[in-house]
Amino acid sequence: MQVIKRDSRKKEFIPERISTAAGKAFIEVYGREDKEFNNKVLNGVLETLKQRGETIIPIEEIQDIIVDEIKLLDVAVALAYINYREERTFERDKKGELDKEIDNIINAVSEQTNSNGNLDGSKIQTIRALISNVVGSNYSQRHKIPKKYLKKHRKSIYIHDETYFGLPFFNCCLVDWINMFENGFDLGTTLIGTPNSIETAVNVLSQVASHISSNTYGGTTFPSLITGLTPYAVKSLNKHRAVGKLWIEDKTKVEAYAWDRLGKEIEDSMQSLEYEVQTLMTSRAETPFLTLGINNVDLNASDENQKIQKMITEAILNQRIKGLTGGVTPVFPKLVYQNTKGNNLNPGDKYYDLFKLAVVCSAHRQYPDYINTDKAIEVTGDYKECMGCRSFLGSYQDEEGNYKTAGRFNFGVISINLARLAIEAKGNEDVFFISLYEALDDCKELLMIRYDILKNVKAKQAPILYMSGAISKLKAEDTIEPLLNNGYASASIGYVGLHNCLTALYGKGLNDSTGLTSKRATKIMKCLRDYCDDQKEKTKIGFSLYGSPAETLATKFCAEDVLDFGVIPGVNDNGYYENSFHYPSNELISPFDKLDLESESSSLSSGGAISFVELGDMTKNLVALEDIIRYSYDKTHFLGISSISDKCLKCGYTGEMFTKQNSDTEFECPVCKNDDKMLLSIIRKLCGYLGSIFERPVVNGKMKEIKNRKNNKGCN
Amino acid sequence: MNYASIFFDDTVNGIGFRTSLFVSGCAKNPPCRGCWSPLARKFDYGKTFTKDTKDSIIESLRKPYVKGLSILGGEPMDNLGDGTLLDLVKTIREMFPEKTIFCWSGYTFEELIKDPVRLEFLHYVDMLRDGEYIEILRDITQYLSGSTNQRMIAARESLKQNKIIIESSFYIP
Repeated sequence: MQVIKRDSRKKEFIPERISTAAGKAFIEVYGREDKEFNNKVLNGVLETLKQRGETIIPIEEIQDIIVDEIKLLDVAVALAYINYREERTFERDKKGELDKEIDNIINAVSEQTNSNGNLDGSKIQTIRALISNVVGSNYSQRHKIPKKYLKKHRKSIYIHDETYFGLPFFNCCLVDWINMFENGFDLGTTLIGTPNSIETAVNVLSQVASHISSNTYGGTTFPSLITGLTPYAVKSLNKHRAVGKLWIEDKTKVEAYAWDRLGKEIEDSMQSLEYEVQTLMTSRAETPFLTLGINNVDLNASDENQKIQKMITEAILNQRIKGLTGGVTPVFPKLVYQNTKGNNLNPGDKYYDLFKLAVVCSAHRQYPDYINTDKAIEVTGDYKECMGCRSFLGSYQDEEGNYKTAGRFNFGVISINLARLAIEAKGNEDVFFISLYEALDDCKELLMIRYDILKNVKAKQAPILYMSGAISKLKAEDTIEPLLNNGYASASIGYVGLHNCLTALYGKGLNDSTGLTSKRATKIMKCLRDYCDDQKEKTKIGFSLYGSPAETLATKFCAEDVLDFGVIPGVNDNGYYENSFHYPSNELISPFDKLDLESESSSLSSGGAISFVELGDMTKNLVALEDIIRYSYDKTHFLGISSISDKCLKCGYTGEMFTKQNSDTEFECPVCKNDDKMLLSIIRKLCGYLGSIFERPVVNGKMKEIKNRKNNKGCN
Repeated sequence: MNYASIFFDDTVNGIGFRTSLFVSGCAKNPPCRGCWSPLARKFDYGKTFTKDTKDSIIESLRKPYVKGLSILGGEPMDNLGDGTLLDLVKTIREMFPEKTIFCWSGYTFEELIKDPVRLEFLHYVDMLRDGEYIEILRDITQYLSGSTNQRMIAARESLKQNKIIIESSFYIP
């Protein structure tokens, strides 16, 4: 007799395999071997096969016969056998899937290809990274993520960056570059001394960015750039003074010369920083997800230092306004600008003109986004920049009671599909909250697994992070466990689709203006937040609530739910879910009302949140842009500007490019009707980051969401 | 008077966030080729402008960030007959002297001042975007305009000084 194997090859039937398999299941249940039992099963199966009289039979059918036979003898053993069989099937499927996915990548048709706006899957250099991504995911699924969570993954919860789940990487961080630069550090095998000019400092900065990005998988933020770079600009200034004195006798002229040279040096440095970062490539074949923190000019600094800080701020913003060659908007680094009452926010503040310059920059280039100091202190404990696109750390005080912000990180995010839980609850609030707590527990457990994986990492495994001071200065053999405790690092529980959840549960989403809906939203948000606080208290690990970016997840969750529950109007019929607590982006709403509505949820999401205002072309209405940014000061700690400033590289028109009729992805210039993708620069906010629509193809659901976005140009 | 629509917190028609009123009806005959809102050329289009409509506009202007009212059409200058618009701008000038009133017309400034009713109205207008839309002069890159013949005139100031002042300060690069 012959057997048809799963790969459809035919092999000779080997009866002993049946007794071996049955024996394994028996041992699983009783912990001992019973040859008599094995033989009974074997004989029973052979008898059945004889009766059927086939000369060739598929392996799965033989297995069904085995199950029936064992059931007659011992139900417990039969269950063990079924379990074993399922696990083997899972393993086999995963292996088969892996081959298929790798095939798809090489032939450039994988979903992976477009999964984040920063990886271009059509390029050869990306293929290796994409393959390592699917291998990593596959490994995580088979060996690191317990099966019970795997069943929920992509359905009720989502394990972000599952590729890295089983690997000793953390997510995003605030680099303690100021400390590194002050004391010198090792970069690879080279000892870098403290820089002696701003030009060198900025060059070293991009080198460090490249190294750190290759040792982490999330965003890398360089905080407090303005005050941090000042000492090196002072060194430069003094050098220029020394040179000046050699050639010029007139002291005031020496001074003028030195400042003039310094200005030029700062400008050049910022220009090269912009280009270097754009063209960097990490070991993951991505441009690093880099964020630069433009913090306030320090009002307590000396006049000279304040002047320098102002110059650095202006240089960074002016460089960004200028754009890359041809006037194209840079996608990286992301810029975040610190708004502070009494420093820059209002007319009359000493550095109000810098705020105005930032507004011009946002109008033309969408960045900077804005961190509102007072609200940030209220929500997160102290002022700090976001890590990457929107992740915020809580406050942490060292032994001396000093707030420490730089050198900290996030080690994982698991998100909850709020919409799905609501659909499953079928309008029953109690059922919803029970499953919400279950999902929260799942997230926590998964993050604890991440904790256990990372706690054994030794400092020497990522010297740039743990030995050179980007995160800390540990000894080679030290583990990083202490860094994971006491809220020094964060572990985040995210959520997607508050709006869709409310609609599924109560029939009315965030666009319902009655107080009842906002009370319901608050109840859900408070439940999420309290859980995180509670776990933080219990475990001393920095659990925090995170308004997930869900760039592709918003689509994945929705698609999965449509498959399982069908199309439900108002809930999942858009093809995507709304991000975190966001008001539906296809509904027209005054940006002021939007900020009001989102304020509470944004404040509760202290582990990360961003409120967007969707605006049209604001380059011709800076007054409005300035007003809405100022209005956000008391509403949200983090404001993102989603304005539109596309450029036609053919006729030079700057303004909004519209999609052609019946298309989500084909754009044309409204002036010259140019629709050549190579000659259109179209940049949109994808999640917390920008994306160039043509250079980095975006997933379909996100493109649809972008097309549906209603700009707050005015509302009825 | 009828109006086609009102936009609140509008960022497109003028400086800052504004309330924009689109009145119904335009008497221009023949109408401009390529008119952007042919429906609103009928005088009975849209809804009747009532006291409630006026109140909602006044209410919107109370917000500190709303910088003023923009009146578009249709043709505002063909809608002065029943005194509704004049009453509206008078009230706004009284209640919110710091807020600006912008108006779009297909007639030129020179044409408008010949008519006493229109002239009176212009005394309340800070910025008049004047002149018809001429399709062959179309240029969408020009601020607040459709074609290059159209001008932005500081109307109130022009009347005061008795000369046409082209207003460039409305545009902030």
